[in-house]
Amino acid sequence: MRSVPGVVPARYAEALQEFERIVGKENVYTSDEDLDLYRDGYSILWGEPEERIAAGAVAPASVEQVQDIVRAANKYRIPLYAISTGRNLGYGGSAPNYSGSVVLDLKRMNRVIEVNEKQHYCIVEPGVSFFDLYAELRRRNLKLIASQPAPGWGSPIGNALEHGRGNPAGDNFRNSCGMEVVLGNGELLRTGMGALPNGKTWATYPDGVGPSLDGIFSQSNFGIVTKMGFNLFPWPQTIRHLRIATHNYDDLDAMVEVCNALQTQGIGRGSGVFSPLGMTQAPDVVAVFTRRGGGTAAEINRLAKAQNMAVFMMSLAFAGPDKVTQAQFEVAHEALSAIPGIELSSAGIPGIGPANDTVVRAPDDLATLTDDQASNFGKPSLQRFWEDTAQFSWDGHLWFSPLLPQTGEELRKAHQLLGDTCREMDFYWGLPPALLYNSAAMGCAASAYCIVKNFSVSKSDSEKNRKTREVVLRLIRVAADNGWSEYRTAPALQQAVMDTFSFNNHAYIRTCELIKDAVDPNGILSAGRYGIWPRHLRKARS
Amino acid sequence: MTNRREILQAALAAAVVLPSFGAAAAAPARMPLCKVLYDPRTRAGLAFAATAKRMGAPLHATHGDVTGVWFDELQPQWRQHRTAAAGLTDFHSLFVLDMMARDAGMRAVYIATHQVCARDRFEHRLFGPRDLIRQASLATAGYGWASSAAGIVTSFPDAVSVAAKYSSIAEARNIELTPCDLVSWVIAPPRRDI
Repeated sequence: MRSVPGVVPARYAEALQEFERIVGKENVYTSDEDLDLYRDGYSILWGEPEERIAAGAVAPASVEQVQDIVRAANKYRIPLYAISTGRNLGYGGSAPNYSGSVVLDLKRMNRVIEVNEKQHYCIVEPGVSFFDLYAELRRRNLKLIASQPAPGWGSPIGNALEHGRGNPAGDNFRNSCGMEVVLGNGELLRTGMGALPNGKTWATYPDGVGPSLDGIFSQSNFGIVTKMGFNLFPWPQTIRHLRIATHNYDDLDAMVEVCNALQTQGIGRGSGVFSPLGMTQAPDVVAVFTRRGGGTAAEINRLAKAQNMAVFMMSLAFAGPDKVTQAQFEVAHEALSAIPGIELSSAGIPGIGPANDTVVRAPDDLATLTDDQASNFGKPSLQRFWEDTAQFSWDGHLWFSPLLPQTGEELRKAHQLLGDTCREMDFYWGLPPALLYNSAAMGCAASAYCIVKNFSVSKSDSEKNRKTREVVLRLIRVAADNGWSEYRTAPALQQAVMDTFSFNNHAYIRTCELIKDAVDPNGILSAGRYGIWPRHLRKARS
Repeated sequence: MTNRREILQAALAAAVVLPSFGAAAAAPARMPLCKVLYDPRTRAGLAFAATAKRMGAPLHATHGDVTGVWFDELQPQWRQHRTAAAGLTDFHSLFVLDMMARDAGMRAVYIATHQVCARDRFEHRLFGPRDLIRQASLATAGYGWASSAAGIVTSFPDAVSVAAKYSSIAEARNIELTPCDLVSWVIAPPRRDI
């Protein structure tokens, strides 16, 4: 039996016995071989004394069991760490923030509670994966899409609570509606219209009356979400793509400006900015991006010409009735044609959209489509994860994902400053992708670019991992100094990111701590998550 | 620590004697397999499949992406009965299938890594039940090691423990591989002493 900090072994043993009474002995895990499965396989602290390790795991099958476990944990002061499917790799896996926590593994709570085909929503439990939800929609033969990331092995609830980005919704949290939560004292709460007994608009109207509470349960440790509603999207009749490419570094600002103007009118869904040149490993290109400054615009343009590769590439997707998407395509094509030197084609970004001139039409049977095409109609995949993994490191990776204003100027500045930070510390920064982070499906104007930079993790070289931690910590600082921040990060870095949210003497985290103390007075839920610590583990803030 | 016997140089190892179905009656119970995956694009995959087929294994060809076999075949099967699967694939295919298998209370109980060390030459490391690994060895000639690997996974004993006392499988979590390397593996419900 492993140890729980601050709890004597005999007391922990009693707690485990109580957990066993609640969920059955077979659903309580204490052996090393079982708990090894709860290590974060992509941990940047792999094999080091600081690696976050669970002391046990318990897997309930119902809300009532979750409540009973929480009450027992309060009684014995056992720290819990809730996970859904635990596959948030690159941003943290199943391992807790606070070593010695007992993982509350919700994978057995895997029921699709409701699918409403007329109002296009579903209500699910945390153990439901995107694959499970897709299977349920197919089983019912419903032509509906659940917004999902690549890959689809995670859970809608876990992903949304992390503000994961999905297709077609954008921010999956913004695509949710209504939740059920077990608070730190075991109390059961329903938000929005769910607070009304038998409320019939729980999953369609998000706010209820009074303050909206849902947001406080994302990236936090105030409760354990046991149900959540999500919007579903009808299959579009057609999907068209417009690819915009340039061999000129300075065209970026105009490309972004025109695409933004189109999207804020609800014309097209943007992909973000990709750089085929910046991602290639061709020696001439690597040599320039390794040098301080990362090359001038003229040098980059010369490289693009020599390599016959676009410096920047964007795409717009148009989804809906045939006549509408045709008209949108034509409007966007005309607007973008005004930028001299721009290359336009009716295709997607290679690797994430159709590579040829196709109009994807909603099929009678998804099996008639390629996997790429079928993903537009909600078919999840494991392949995208494979592609990322094979491209970078099979040992694992860590994402650095700062958000910045959606302008070409700011994106070029970020590449310069963050790139130089990497280069000073002998890390490579080409021109990593900047995904569009918004509620794109709604045609929402509020959006940002999210640079997704991948750092490889080693299973055998802790010195390499130490240097990677050092560079990412410095990047977090440089980003914050320029008004940018990561939107999501791994447990090992959450404290550092939260520390940069320091407006008015850290008023934000101080308010989070007030809420924490109120809803989880014994501090048993997910201690340290996103820098929110219970009172007894709180350190003096510098 | 992995001992010298567990690091098998193909050039040094002796050929494994494959158990036949006729001989299986006297041996410990074999683990039933619902699918045995291989990649027909590789010579090793073809050699592996040929032997697995002789052993009566339910073969399934993959081409890198295991989404289809997992979603259409393994997951429905695992929802009904926890039945083992095996294969010779790239590491990533094993990695994702191992992750998905955990939802069904299963996991990798045996992993052999086959790392490219020169043209058509591989270095092999085996992780799993210590008794089995002590006895196992892989053939040397050509891609004979892949046939041997198929023999091991298709005659794998039923109900193995993954406790460190009985198994070295935990050490496999520290392995470092490249996309060129291959792994043979068994995913199964382990014996839990609770």
